[in-house]
Amino acid sequence: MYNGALLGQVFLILFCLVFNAGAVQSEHQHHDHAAMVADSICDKQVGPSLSCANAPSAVFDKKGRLWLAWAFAEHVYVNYSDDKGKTYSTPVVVNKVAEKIYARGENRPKIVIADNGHIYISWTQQLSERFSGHIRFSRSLDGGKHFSDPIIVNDHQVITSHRFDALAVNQRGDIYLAWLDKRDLLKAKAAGQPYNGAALYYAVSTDGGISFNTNEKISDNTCQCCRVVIAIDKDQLPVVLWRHIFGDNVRDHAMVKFDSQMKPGEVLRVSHDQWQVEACPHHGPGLSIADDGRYHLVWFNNAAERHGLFYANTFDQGKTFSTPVSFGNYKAQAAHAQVLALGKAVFLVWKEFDGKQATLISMNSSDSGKTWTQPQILANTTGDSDHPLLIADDKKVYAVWHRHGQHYQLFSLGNH
Amino acid sequence: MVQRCILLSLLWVTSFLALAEQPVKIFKAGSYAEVLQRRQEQSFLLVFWSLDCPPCYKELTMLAEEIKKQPQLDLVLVSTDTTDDIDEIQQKLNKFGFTQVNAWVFQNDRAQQLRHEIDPNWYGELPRSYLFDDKHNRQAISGILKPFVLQRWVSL
Repeated sequence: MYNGALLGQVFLILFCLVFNAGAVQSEHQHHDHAAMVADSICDKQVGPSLSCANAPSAVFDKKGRLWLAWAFAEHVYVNYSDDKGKTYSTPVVVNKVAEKIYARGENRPKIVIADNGHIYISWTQQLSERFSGHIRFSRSLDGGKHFSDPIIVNDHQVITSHRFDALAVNQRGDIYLAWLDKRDLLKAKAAGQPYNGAALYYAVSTDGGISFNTNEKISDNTCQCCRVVIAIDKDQLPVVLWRHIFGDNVRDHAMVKFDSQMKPGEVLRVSHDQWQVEACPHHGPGLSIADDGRYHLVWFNNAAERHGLFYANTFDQGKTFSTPVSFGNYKAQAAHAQVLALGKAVFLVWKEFDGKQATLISMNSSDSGKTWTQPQILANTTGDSDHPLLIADDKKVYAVWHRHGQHYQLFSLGNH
Repeated sequence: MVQRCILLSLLWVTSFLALAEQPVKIFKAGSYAEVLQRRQEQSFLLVFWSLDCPPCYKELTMLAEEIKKQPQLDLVLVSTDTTDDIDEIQQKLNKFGFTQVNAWVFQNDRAQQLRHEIDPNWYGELPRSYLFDDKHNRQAISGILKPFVLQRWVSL
């Protein structure tokens, strides 16, 4: 009994020592965390804030009003600006019921506006398992005052990856959603078959977003963690561009143009940099279609021979391409480019990083990408920053860049 | 008293076990130099991974097998996730048996700065591995390490 008591005392002392050590360690970690974020005004932010949001998307409507969709906490919000980003309206919540949202880097809520003024929003809901998600869609028919309860667009609703949504609407009002989907990977696994990457699926709504058709597959074996992009051709059919897996893990880019309202055509390979890597690059491509029907593409690759940012265009829907042009400073982490083409005017924007600060850089062409201006620095930040975007109203082109905690600002790139 | 003693013993043993696994440390400016400094004249393997990167799990599976074969392999694992993910990172490391591995997670909102400090030519693709020899010459590899590359490096 005495021995037991003594042992108990020894344990008690040791326990106290261990407990104390744990407490000190936890305090230390807490201090580290506090120091890390002390300089951020967003720490104190309680209500929805564009400056402190994640990954906004931006678009102008026909009247020149700038519309934004962004994620804050577990909601998507929409607001607008009538003075090119000087002031913003009070945000309106899209999903009234909170849910986790993928909103960082390659993932962001999307916003497009139909010619009739209806606003369409999509995003990827984060589910309980890693990599799992649902493609969500909501719309507003009253100019952004109210949004419909979000629907799940992927008709395969097992908890797996349906992510990296891309959204577009054409002049007829057809709404296209494309995304990366792992239903075929699951099927292959169950059958004991190998399957590399994800698949590219799409859905179309021809009733203004009330419903979407049965999901259809565009291609197997896409890269699984890069953004997908859709642009609308002048015949009102969508063109989808994504990072694909060719052969033994060569991660170049592929494109498809739809043959008809509901059916994609042939998948074409559009980059040949031979980046062979079994990895997640987290660098998706960009695509813009000018009103002369020329497609303008940007992408990133990191192969030993051919690396960095590239630009190319095609006037024949991908049958032939211009020789890809390298741009940006590879030694300064040039990445995350966007392209916007309006007539013969083509604008590029991207990010560079010198070890201390991130810089937003642009250059443009007035002859459909034959010749280019010198790169021009638009802004910089030492803090966390999003990938840049390009938008245009009826006169001017703007770069937009979300810098965490700062005013969401437009940078004019001039008339188009 | 005996019951209390047993209870305290159990608590103590549990606490000890919990402490026995290496905590995930925060990788911030200077941490890369610290990792190198602690391994002077030692070869080691530095691997960056993320909870959000499917190929990274293949890499961790392969590394777990290699460590069983070569327990002397000095592995440093750095997650590029956020400090909010520490619990999940720890769970995953435990699942792969990496309880004794030197493990880190990127400081929040500093991924770009940290990547640049480690290697300006790394564009964030994951997994990203660095094979260091004892003179600290390093070989950078993007994507899943091939076991033969690792074995060749170990045998050097």
